[in-house]
Amino acid sequence: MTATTDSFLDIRELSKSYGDSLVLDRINLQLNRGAVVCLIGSSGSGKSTLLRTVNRLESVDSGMIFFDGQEITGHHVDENQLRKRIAMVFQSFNLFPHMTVLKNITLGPRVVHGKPTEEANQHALELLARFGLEGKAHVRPDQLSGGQQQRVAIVRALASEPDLLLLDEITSALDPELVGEVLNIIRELKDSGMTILMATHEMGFAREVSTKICFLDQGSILEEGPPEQLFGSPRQPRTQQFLQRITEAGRL
Amino acid sequence: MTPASPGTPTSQTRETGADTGAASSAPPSQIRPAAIASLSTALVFGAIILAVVNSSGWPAFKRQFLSQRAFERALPEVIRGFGLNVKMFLIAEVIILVFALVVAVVRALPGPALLPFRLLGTLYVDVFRGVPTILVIYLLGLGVPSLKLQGVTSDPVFWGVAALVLSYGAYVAEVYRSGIESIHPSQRAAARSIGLTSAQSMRYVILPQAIRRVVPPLLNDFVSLQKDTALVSILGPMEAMRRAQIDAAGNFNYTAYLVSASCFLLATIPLARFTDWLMRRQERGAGR
Ligand SMILES: Nc1ncnc2c1ncn2[C@@H]1O[C@H](COP(=O)(O)OP(=O)(O)OP(=O)(O)O)[C@@H](O)[C@H]1O
Ligand SMILES: [Mg+2]
Repeated sequence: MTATTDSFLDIRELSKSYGDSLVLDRINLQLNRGAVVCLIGSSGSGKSTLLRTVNRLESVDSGMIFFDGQEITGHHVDENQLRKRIAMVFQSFNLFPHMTVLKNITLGPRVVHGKPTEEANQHALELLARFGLEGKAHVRPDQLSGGQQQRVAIVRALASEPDLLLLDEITSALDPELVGEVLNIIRELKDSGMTILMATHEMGFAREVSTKICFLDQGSILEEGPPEQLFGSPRQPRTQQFLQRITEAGRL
Repeated sequence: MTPASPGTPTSQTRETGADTGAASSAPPSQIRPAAIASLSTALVFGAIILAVVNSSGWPAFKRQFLSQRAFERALPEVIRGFGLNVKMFLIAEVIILVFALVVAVVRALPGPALLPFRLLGTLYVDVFRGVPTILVIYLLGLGVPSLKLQGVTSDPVFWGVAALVLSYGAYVAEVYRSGIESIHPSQRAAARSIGLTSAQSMRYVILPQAIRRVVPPLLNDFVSLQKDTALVSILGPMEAMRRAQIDAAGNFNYTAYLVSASCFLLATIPLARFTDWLMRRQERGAGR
């Protein structure tokens, strides 16, 4: 196995266990710049864990991750620099409730990257305007709707101008009528060339925006391919079962 | 608050009725509970007072504890002494707030390099929560000066405050720690995900939320600290309790103790009420 790679993100033979249970089982996954890759699979299949290992919120047991040509799982890696380039958005928004929207967004740039407050504020206000949140800079998160909160969380992730965005079921905690406004943002980000790795239960959306779909089952990628192929003619019986269940639940 | 009357439909209307306190303008259904409450209060307290005043020891008690002359004599002395209690309390409080926070943060930070400090923190909290405050005061206030170390003060106020800091610091550190642990791990994950170090996450994200949550229990500990400054009297400095002791012993009259107790009450009751009020307000706010 060589250390150099053409992919922007290259995950190789990645494994992780919690105690006795193997949560990630020799995962291999490649993303090019500008790719949008969706992880699908039933609850507990390891989607969140995989995402969290990529920005080092979880350690791994074996395997390697290369990001932009550099190995990023080792001890020597400066994770705070890494997280400037790999941002993550969570299912439950995880905004900081004691700070205004503006402070939420500028905390990283100011504290981690030493940006002057003026400049950080300016950039944050531009981002807020771009995502339809002008006027919300000085309110607290609990005064926003779920959809607005999640959009703020996305803006917070974008504030450090990352090259890779990790999205963990970012619409799952939202009321159905609020899902659209968040997905629109992802569409826009994709069009602007952002590289995105996301876990989602929104199959219609996954089908529409993805360059590749990975079906995770019990910690391993059982099947992957372009959306038409994976949704249209899945090869693995377990993928078929999963999609069947989703269709019955009316989500495809 | 007036007890629930069957006629009121929601708890909200009941509360507004009680808060405005306009018993005269309240509807008839609310007058009766208020009247019952006052009557029963008057009866109970009246009965207690009657029983005490008619007890066989009452005249002697009155002479020993409620002497006007002794009161007038002790009051200025005790008040002067209470100034020292207030001073000890204020100094100890400020040091405890900072010191306990350091202990709590050290115990909460991850990383193998900090293990010895975490152990030290745990040991400290276990030891000083286990040893009675009065013993800590004795050990420090009498023990350390008896070592006659070069350049180390033997000032009883200094060692008294030090003992209070060590003893209460352990409790307050635990209060802080419970606050830190009450913040959901996802907040830390979010802070780390935008690139903050563990220490920065603590400083900007965890602590501001945690401290807000523990203000009421902290104040509760300080109510208790306020009166425990009296324990330092065993080392001899002239605080309120000590002055009361001296007056009582010199005049065979205990009125000075009541004077001293009143000083502590006057200081702690407002703080205790304020704490209750804050707690209730936070509980109401927690649902939001
Ligand atoms: N901190 C942890 N300690 C122990 N086990 C964990 C931990 N986090 C996750 N797991 C386990 O790892 C497995 C994978 O969890 P993960 O959250 O990655 O699944 P997921 O695919 O994201 O599921 P969902 O769709 O419900 O979000 C599950 O069996 C879960 O119970
Ligand atoms: Mg998940």
